[in-house]
Amino acid sequence: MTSGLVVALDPAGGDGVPGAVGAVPAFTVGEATAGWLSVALEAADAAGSEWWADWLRRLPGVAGVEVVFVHWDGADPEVTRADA
Amino acid sequence: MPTLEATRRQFVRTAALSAASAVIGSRAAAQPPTPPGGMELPVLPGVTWDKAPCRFCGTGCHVQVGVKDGRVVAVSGDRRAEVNKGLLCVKGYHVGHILYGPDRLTRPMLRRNGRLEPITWDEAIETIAGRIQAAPAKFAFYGSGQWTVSEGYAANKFIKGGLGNNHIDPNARLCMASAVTGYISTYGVDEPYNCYDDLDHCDVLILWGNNFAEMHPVLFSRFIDRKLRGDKVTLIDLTTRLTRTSERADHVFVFQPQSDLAIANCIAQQVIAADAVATDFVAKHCTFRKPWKRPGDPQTLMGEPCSFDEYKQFVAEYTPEAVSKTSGLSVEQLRLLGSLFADRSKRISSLWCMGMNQHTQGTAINNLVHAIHLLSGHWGRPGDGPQSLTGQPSACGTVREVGTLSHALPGDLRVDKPDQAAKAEALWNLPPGRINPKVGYHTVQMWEKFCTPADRGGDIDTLWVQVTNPGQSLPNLPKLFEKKPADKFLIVSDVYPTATTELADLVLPSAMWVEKNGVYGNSERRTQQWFKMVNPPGEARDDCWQTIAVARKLFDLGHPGMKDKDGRFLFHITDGNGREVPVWRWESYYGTVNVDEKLYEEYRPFTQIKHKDVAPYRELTKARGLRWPVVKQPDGTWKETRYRFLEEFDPYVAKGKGVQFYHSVAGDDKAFIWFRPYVPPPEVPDKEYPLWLDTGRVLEHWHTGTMTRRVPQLKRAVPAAYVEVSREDAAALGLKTGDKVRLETRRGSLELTAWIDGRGRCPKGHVFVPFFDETKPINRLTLDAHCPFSKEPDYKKCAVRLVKVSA
Repeated sequence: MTSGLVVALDPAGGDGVPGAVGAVPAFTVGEATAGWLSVALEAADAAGSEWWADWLRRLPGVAGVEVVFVHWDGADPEVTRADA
Repeated sequence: MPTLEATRRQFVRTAALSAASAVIGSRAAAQPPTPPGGMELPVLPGVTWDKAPCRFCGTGCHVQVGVKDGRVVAVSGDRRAEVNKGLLCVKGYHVGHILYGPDRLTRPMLRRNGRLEPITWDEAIETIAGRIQAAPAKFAFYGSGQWTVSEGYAANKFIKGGLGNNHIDPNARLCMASAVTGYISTYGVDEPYNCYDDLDHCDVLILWGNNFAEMHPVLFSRFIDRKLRGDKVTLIDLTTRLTRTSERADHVFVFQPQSDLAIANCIAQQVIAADAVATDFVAKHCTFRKPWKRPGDPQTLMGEPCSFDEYKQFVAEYTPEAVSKTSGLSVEQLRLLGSLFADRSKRISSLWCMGMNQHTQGTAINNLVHAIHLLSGHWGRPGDGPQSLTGQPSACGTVREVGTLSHALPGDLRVDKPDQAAKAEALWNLPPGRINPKVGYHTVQMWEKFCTPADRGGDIDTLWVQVTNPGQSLPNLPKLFEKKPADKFLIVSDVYPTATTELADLVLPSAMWVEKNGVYGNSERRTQQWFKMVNPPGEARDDCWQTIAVARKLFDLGHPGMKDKDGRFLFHITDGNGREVPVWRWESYYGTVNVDEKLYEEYRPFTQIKHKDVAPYRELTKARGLRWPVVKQPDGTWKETRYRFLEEFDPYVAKGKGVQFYHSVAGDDKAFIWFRPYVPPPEVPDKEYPLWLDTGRVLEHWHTGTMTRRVPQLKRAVPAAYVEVSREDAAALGLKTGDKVRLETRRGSLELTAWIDGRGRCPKGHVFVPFFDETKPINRLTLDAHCPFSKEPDYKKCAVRLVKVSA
């Protein structure tokens, strides 16, 4: 499962975020522009994707994470019964 | 050498990164995005892309849907969409998944001997037509703000133009009816004059009981982005509990339930006391209104004229000192609000949604928020005005504009106004007098009549539900849903089993979202179109087809209402050669004509009657929605309208007028500035039930959770309903997070897990429960008392007690 994310950097402390994120193999870091950082996140499944997105949200210097793209071809979308 | 799989993954990763970079490029630029290729869609092998509005809330974000081999495999925020500028919230992120639950309904099923058994579509259609033919006046249609425009239009025409009983109402009665009556009684016509652009221009954003961060997250980000960029903007959260919105607010003012009425009057009192009334604007464009002839008389929707001096006297008692006692806000907090409205140099945007609408004084508080903006002159500049938001994707488009309410006709016409009904009859080519002038049952009445035995006045015996889940969303479920008599017949068209299908006698499998053609209308008057992209599963079919097929069966059975005045079928649809297409047959529905386009174009002239001209269908196919009125220009192009009633933007304002409320109630082009008094709620905490119960939504789940609870990521994030309890109340009850607690109201009880200081935080004396969880239906406890004008129930406050069950 692959996601495209926009990371909003905290104006007072977001400088270290690209390095910290880039050190994690699941992420591919793109450009940082005007307080935002583009990131691709690749995980084996939706649960992994969710875990890393949550990690990113909690990373010091991150003010917010927004999703702009998601691709799950080849991965089970894992839709289940509501009461399962 | 990389493997094929590695290459494919690299390809997708690059596409994801490009999508994110392009969005950042757009946001960083002062102007709309210009980089070459910046609007291009991700290139993925075998994937085709097309636009659609998101299926969930009323924001109206556009997504690009990636389809491969007949399945949706990817979703991307649509960077061409002005609403979301490429962003998605967590629900939009998973919108593609909602099609693929393993328990999708795929065959019609009829209940026999207590069990739902598969039947054919022909049997299903014959069964419905037979019930209606036997007693057309006892049939009702219960629809939705998730109906597409054409679905709602077909249902409305079927019942009002065909059956003539007007018993049609939508679930939107439960969420935005108070906004409708608020707009109509203030400006004479429904829907906001302004749009989301206000978020880009305001200096101060006041949220009136609106958890904006969770309910409309993409719009919230649009505003918060300005803060991140260093804009000096102030966010004020007027709320009854702390939420994620509060975390980002500059000021959080926690008020007592219902006291919003007093707070609004207090702002008016201070504006007058500070001599800050926008005298010129008010003199030219407004008149004052009181709710009765004399204080103490029952209030009316349209009230009585009053002078400024009378108005000033009415609000005089709402001083900060007095309202501090009612509201729980400090005098300083109230003074801050008053001083903001007294200062014209700042642009103030007020937003609201369920907090103001689900209110036994819903119309009144809507009137009052419009009033303080008009009185103070905080009205009419971009970023400076009041605007309601909606919770469903087409609450505006299908309910308010198509008129699927029990009193309404398309285009803001009413069934009980003979001249207006005559216009509808003319457009529908019906014989004069076909439309019944008696207003039908509103939602609470409809379900009450359905759940009451026939020999005790329950005169609705067959009820057809489409695209909604009243078995979970109606208030006071024991009274309004669970009492269904065995001889009453409930038909439910849906995509998944729900609390409503549990009681249904006939279940019909429906197509959803991009499994069908559709048009929605969002909260800012934006009409949005999409095409069918994938097939629905099994025998699932469009709701619109279902309605037309039943109408045709009635036509064949000789029901006179299914013919127009020339004897043609009510849904007479022709191809390019003028030949009738039998669209009531499924095999012809997606054949030589686009039924969605045909019905939409049939509906479109209605919208021109009250200057709400929606765009031609063909224009919508090219755009990411257009805000009405959409008017053709001399050069042949079509132009949308960002702000109504303002000469600078609205082509229907007469030249030289500046501002013109051209549908004003009094016919004088002026809006009403209302006084409405503070009225206590119908049920308040007492010794027996000492706490307030508030209900609502959470970010991850949409309404009753039938779609989002089937997405594991969303379900894992918030797996079950809970009760938020304050630290103080938890200590008094000996509760800690995770303890089981029973909630009891005068209507029912429910066991839930306590959450103390969780995502939301309630003040002492107040608990909150979300309503998304069908296994924990909180609406077994809520109150069905409703606003006397909008008929919208109050889900936000009733009295409850908590009993600790176990640790």
